[in-house]
Amino acid sequence: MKSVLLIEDEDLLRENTKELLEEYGYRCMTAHDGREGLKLAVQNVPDVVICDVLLPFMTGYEIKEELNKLTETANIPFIFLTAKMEREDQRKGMDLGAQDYITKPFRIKELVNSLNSRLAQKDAMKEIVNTQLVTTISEFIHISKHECNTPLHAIITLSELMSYPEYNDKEFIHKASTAINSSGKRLFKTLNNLIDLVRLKHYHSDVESGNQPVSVNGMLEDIAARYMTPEKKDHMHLYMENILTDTILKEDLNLLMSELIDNAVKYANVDGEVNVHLEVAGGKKSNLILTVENLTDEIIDFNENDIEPFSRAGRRENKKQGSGLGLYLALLVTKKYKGNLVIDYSQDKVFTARVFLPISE
Amino acid sequence: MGDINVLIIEDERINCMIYDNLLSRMNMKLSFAYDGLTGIQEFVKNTYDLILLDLGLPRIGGIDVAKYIRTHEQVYQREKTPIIVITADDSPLTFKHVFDAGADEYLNKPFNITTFKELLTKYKFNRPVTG
Repeated sequence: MKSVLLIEDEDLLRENTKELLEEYGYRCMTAHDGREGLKLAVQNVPDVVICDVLLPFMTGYEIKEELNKLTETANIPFIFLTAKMEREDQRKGMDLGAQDYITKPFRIKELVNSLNSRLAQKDAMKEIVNTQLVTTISEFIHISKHECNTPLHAIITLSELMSYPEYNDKEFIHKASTAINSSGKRLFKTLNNLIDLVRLKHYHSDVESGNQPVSVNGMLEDIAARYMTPEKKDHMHLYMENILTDTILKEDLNLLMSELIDNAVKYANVDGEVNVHLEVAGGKKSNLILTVENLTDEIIDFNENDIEPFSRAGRRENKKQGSGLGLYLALLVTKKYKGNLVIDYSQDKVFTARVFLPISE
Repeated sequence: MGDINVLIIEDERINCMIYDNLLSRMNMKLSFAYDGLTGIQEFVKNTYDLILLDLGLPRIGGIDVAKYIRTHEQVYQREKTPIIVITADDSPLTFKHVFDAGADEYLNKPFNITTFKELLTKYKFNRPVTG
C-alpha cells in the first residue's frame, strides 16, 4: 500500500481528503502545519507528499527546500496544493523539483490521477536504477574475478616460492620480485578503475561550472611524462593549446586522458609512436578536442560502439595485460560531460581515439 | 623415462612465468601458446603428455579449445592427452562446462602450490610407458 503525507492546515479539507484517499487504497498521514509536515516527511519518508503552499510556520516551498537537502527525501514526488496558481508560483515550485500543482478546490479524481502518475514515474525510475545497479555489480564481479585474481595469484604464488630453499637463487629472486612489484601495481590500477566505474555510474551529480579551474594542457603534460621513459621519450609527441576549464572535474579529466594515453601506449606497435593533439574549437560554446593516435601492428574491426567494461580491442597474440576497463571509463567520463568519443582504425594502421567535450570559454 | 612434454595454453605472461619456474624444476619440457588458436595448432602439430589450459583466452576460448582437442583425438585416433584447466572462474556452471568439454582436472587460481605439484606428479607418473 503506497503512503501519502498530506500537509494541509484547513481541517475540513484535510480530513475529507484523507478519507477519500484511503478509500482509493492509500495509507494517508496528515499534518496541519509546515513544521509538523516536515517532521513527518523526514521521519516516515512517504511515497508521495501533497502539500499546501501557504501553511503556518513553514510554507510548502520551504518544506520542499528542506526535503531537497536530504538524500532520503530529495526524490519523494511532491504535489503542491494552492488556492491560486500564478505562473510565477508554479515556476517556483517546479524549480524546486515539485512534480505537479493542483488548484483548490479540486476533484479527488484529479488528485488521485496525479498521485498515480507520480508514483508510476517513481517506480519506473527505481526499476531503471536497479537494473543499472545490477549491471554495474555484474561488471564489477566479472572484472574483479579475473583482473584482481591474476595479479593476486602471482603475488601469492611467487612470494611463497621465494621462501622455498630450492628457489633461493638470485636469478629467481630478481625475476619474482619484479613480477610481484608489477602485479601489485596492476592490482592497484584495477582497484582504482573499479572504484571509478562505480563512481561514474552511480555517484555523479549534475555537471556544473564553478569547479576549480584546471589547466588541461598542464595535466596532459604530467600524464605523458609518466610514459616518457628514456627509451620512449622520443616516441610520444604532444601538440597542445593552452586550455583552462572549470566545467570538468580534475579527477574525471585525469582519468579520461590517462586511460586514452595508457591504451595508446599499450597497443602501439614496436616503434611505439604515439601522437597526442589537444585543441579547442567552436567559438563561445567550445569543444575541447583530444586526439590520441598510435600505429598498430594490424587492422582491427573495433569502434566506440564495441566498448564494454571487459572487452579489449584486438585480442591479439601479443596483447598487453589490462582489464579492458580503461576505454569504458573514458567513455563514461565523456558521456557524463555530454561529449563524444570516436574510435577509428584507418587503412594505414593508425588507431585513433578522439574525444569532443563541451567546455565553457 | 624421457622428458614430460607439457603444453601450456595461457595468455597472461605472469602466469606463464610461474608455470615455467614450477614445471621446469620438475624436469618437464614446456611449450607455450598465448591464445586458443595457437594452442590448437601446437596440439595438432606435436604430441604432449599434459596440457595446462586457461579459459579466458584470445581468439578461441579454453572451453572450445578442450572440445576441439577431444574431437581431434577421436577423429585421428590419438591417445587422450590429460587436460588440467586452471582458471580464476569458480562458478558451478563453468565447472560443469569444463568437464563436459573433456577436461580431466579443474584448478582455481590462486592455487595452493603443493596441490598443484601433486596434480602434476599424478599425471607425470600416469602417462603410458613406451617401450
